[in-house]
This record gives sequence, C-alpha cells and structure tokens, in this order.
Amino acid sequence: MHSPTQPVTTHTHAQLRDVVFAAIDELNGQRPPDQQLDKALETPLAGQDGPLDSLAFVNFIVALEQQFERTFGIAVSLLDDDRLDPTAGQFSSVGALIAFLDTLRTPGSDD
Amino acid sequence: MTSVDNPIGVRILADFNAANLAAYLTQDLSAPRVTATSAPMGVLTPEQMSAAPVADIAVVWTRPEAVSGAYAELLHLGLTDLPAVLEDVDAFADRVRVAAGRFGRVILATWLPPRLSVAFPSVAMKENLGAANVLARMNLRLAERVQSLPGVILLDASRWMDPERTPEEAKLWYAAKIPFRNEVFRRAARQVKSSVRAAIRGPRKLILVDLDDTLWGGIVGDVGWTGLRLGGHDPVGEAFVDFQRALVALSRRGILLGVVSKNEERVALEAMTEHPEMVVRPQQLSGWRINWHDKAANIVALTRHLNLGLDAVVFIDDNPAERGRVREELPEVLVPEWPTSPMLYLDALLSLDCFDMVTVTDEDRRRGELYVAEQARSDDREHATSTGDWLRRLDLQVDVEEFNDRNAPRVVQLLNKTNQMNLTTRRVDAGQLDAWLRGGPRKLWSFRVADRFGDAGLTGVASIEMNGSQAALIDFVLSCRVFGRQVEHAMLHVASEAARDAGAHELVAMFQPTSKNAPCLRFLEASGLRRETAQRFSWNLSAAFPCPPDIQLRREMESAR
Repeated sequence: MHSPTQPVTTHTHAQLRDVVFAAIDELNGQRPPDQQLDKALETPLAGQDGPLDSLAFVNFIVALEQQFERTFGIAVSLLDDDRLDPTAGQFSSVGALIAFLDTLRTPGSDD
Repeated sequence: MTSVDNPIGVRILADFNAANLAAYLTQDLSAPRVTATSAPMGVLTPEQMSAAPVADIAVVWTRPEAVSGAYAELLHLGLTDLPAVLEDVDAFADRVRVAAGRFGRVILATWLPPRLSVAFPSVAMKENLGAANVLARMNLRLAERVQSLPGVILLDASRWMDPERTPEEAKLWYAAKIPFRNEVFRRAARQVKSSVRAAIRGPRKLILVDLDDTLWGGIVGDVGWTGLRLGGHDPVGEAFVDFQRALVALSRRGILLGVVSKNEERVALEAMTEHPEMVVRPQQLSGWRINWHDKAANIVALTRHLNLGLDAVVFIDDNPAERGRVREELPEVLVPEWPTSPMLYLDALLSLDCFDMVTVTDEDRRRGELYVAEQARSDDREHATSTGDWLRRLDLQVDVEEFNDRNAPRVVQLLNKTNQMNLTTRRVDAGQLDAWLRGGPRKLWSFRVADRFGDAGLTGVASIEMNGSQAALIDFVLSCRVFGRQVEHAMLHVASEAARDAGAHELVAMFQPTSKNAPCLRFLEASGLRRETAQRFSWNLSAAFPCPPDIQLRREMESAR
C-alpha cells in the first residue's frame, strides 16, 4: 500500500472511475465478445458468481495498479496487500471497487 | 492438414503461463481467424504434444533457463559450461523436430534474456562469462539446428521485448507465472499471427502505387521530371528514394510492383526512365495504368490482366479521396492509411504485415520478370488469328518431375498458396506431404512451364492415389500465371497415363468448392471429363486423357529422393 506520507488527495471519484474503466478496457482486450465486461458501476467483478477467474483477476489487478499510478503518479501495490481477497466485498462490483480505492485517498485511512 | 476456409487451431506450448498470448491471438479478428489454447506448462513434454485438442500449428515459447540447466547455473552460480549449454540446445532442437512431426507447423520463439541475466551488464557480452554472450550463442545454435526442419518458423522474439523490465512483470510472474507484461504478448501475438498468415495464405502479391507525391515529390505534369523532389540534398527527396528502395526490395522477394496514376502516360514514363535518382524503373513494373480514368477501374483492369485476385492487392496513394474511393469500391484491396509526411512513407510500408513469407523460392525472386514475359505473351496473343494459332506459336514446353527434395519447397508453396486452379485446396507442409506419399500407392508430379517468351518456372502440381481399379486425382493445382495455355490438359494427361499404367480403369476428380476455386470448376466442366455429380468428374482409362498437340512434354521421372 502507498506510504501514508504520499500526497494522494487530489484525485476525484470520477478519476477513480476512469482508472477502473481503463483497467476493464485492458482486460476486455483478452476476452471474447460475449464475455466483455460492461463499464458500469453495477458490473460484477470477482467473488461468488463474478465473471473473473483467478488469472483474469490477477491481470485486472495489475492493470488497475498501472492505471492508478499513471493517473495519480502514485505506486500502489494491491497484489501483495493482505486485503487482496477476490471474495471480499470490495471486488464484488465496479462500484464497490471504486469505493475501496477511494479509501486510499486519505493518508492513514488504509485500515 | 487444413482447409482454407476453416479457423486455424493454434496450441501454445510454453514453460510459463501463456494464457494471455492465447487470449490475444484468439481475439485478433484479422484473417485468418485462429483459436488458440495453452497446453500445460513444460518444455515440449509428451503431455504437451498429446492429441487433444487438435491444432494445426504449435507455438513454442520457452525460457532459456528452463531449457538448459547449464545456462541456469550460469545465471545462479556464475558457472559457464558452454558445451553443456549447446548440448541442451541440441536436445531441445530434437524435441522441436518431434513437435513439427506432430503438429506439421511449429512457430518457435527465440530465447529472451531472463530477469537474472541483467546483472553484471559490464561483462554481459564477454565470452565464457557473460549471460548475454551465452544466450546469443544459444539462439544462433537453435537457428542452425531448426532451419532445415520442414514446417518450423523461428521468430526473433527480441522484437517483442521492452528494454527494461517493468514492475508489473515481476508481479505477474510471482502471482501467476506470467513472465511478461501484456504489451509483450500483444507484440508476440501480432508477429505470430503474421507468420500464421504467411504459412497459410502467403503474402499479398501486388503493390500498386500512385506517382505524384507518393513515389516522388511534386506533380510531374506541372513541374516536369527535372522539378521532382527525389534524392539529392533534400530530406524529403531522400525519403522518397528510401521508399522506392523498399518497394524494389519487396519485388526481389516476389511481390509485384505496379503503378496506377492519374497522369499523362508519356510524361510519367519519361520521368521514371530519365530521372537519375529514380529507383523504380518501368522495367521493374509488372504493369501500369497511367491515364485519367477512375483508379478503382484501373486497379480492376490491371489486376485482371495480371491474373490475380483483388485480395492480392495493396494500393498506396497519398490522396485520401482516392484511398476512400478504392476502399469503398474494392473492399478486398488493402488500402492502408498513409502518412502526410513523405519521411514516414518507409515506416508506413514496413509496418504493413501483409508481405511476410515463410520461404523465398527462385520463382519468387523471378516473379516480376515472369510477369513482364506474360505482358509480351499477352500482346502476342492479340496478334494471333485464333487461340490454336497462338498456342502453336508459343512453343510450349512442360517438364514433368516426380516429387523430390529439389522441388519440394516450391511444390509445398504452390499447394499452400494457390486458390483459383485448385481441385481440393488441401494445405500441407513438406513433412506431411512426404508422409502422405510414403503412406500408400500415391504419386505426385511437379510441372515446369516454359515457352518462347520465358520460363514460368514450377507452376503446376498433380497427384493421384490408387484404390484398386480406380485412381483418385488428389491435387490438381496450377498457378494463375499459366492458366489457359492447355497446361491443365497436359497435367491431366500425365496423371491419367500413370493411373492407367498402374492398372486403374477410371480416374476420378472430386472437386472441393471454396470461395475462390471456381476457375478450376470451369476448367473441369469444359475439359471433356464426364460429370457424374455436381462435384465428381471422371475419365475412362481405356485411353489416357489426350495431351495437347502443341505442348512438348518432357519427363524427368527419376525421383531424386
């Protein structure tokens, strides 16, 4: 996770949404037409009945990290974070993921 | 063996998680479509080469430290045992040969530097010490060992690599055993797809270029050839010369050149002949249409004249309106977007991945010259009083030869590239063809055609399979360059005579329709063979099919295998 001393407070909810949507675009490049993920807040991701298998989940998270760094200039490391559990609520949908990423905005708000 | 209209099955054999490469290959919508799957991870293990799922092509991509224990020791311990490394490479090449036998075609990636090899860059290229030096030797050894293996294409994977490793590659490796980021897999997929296209369909065969501001700078009708920007101490002129050089380089690999331009023909040809820095001269063109007519109509006329399909054509023009017009009128023609700066023309040409080819034969190198001869032949035909008169004047010679090591590359190329005069459109590589011939009472001949205008080269293939009193015509393939000179009849004569000598009473030809081989059907319908059903034609072998009297048939029946 990012250092609590890093300035991460300038991003907005819309920017976070764009980060997630860009990661979805990256993932869709590998998926057949009938398995494309919609860029919508209610789109399910991982977890029970989620469309992402373990490989797609890893690809998605890596793409998400890249997009986050590209947008905010801050390196985040979700892949080795203790809370990286595909079945956890923060990955249940695009909207939930944006809300989770939003918690990274404020230094010290990680836990 | 594959049919021309079916999707291509690609099986990826890697010692790492290559699912992302499979995904990019499968999602690539360009023709021919492929369906790619990953085998279980390993270095060409028996499990990887097991039967299911059926695949037409294997893609083999391994990490050097997984192939060679001696190379891994160099990385981890700094110990260099070059002979042991090369032994490992040889053993791997032997497994590639097995894979080629199993799949028919193998696309093999060269080895890329592992993450550990970037340590100690100052000694990386030192002999017997540096990891980069040893890896270069491994790749060269691999190239030497596989270059003569039929059906094996070795790709230079260094073009796919990023100069620096990225953080996501480390994460992907630890999380999912994926050693490269997606951009690397995307580049790999593009090149693999290009090789699949080259192996299955062959390259586009004809580049048609505009002249003003495409082949040279300026409007020749306005400024005259002395006023053109071409060569000299001029960055733009230099760029035009480089673009022309690249066109000529393609022509030396068998891609034909032609001109379609709105200009006065005399003025344009004078420029091409007289300008001292011109690289593309009229004699290097297979044809041209330089007039004030519609370019789409000119493209159709020139392509028809050269006996090619529109799907063989690439049209290059600086004018977006002309590009749009041709795109709309002739969707089969590839009309690339073209940069506005002439300094980018060379890169635009090189970025087209439609000229890739898996081999270059003598016929390829001579193709431009062959089409010039065809132009003279065609002119002669216009002066003949009848088709019979023209055929008599041609002094046609057809040399027949059984399948052998010398003609194998061109025979295989013809079988895999020819679409129009092709009875069954079966696609095979040299190994498959050899195995097929050895696997039963079968014969295959190549036909080399020459006349007083020139040698068209090896342009025909026919094969038969004996089945009791019946002989089946399996391959009947003739290059469009020699259509209509009764070589087709001579080929039927040779096949029927051999079938008759082998005791058959009937020769049967089963036409397998594709979207492109209607010319073959038209020939069969007019040939004199008996049509039994929509697709079945036969010849009673109480006598061989007659050989056209104006063809001199010469046989070299001794197999050189």
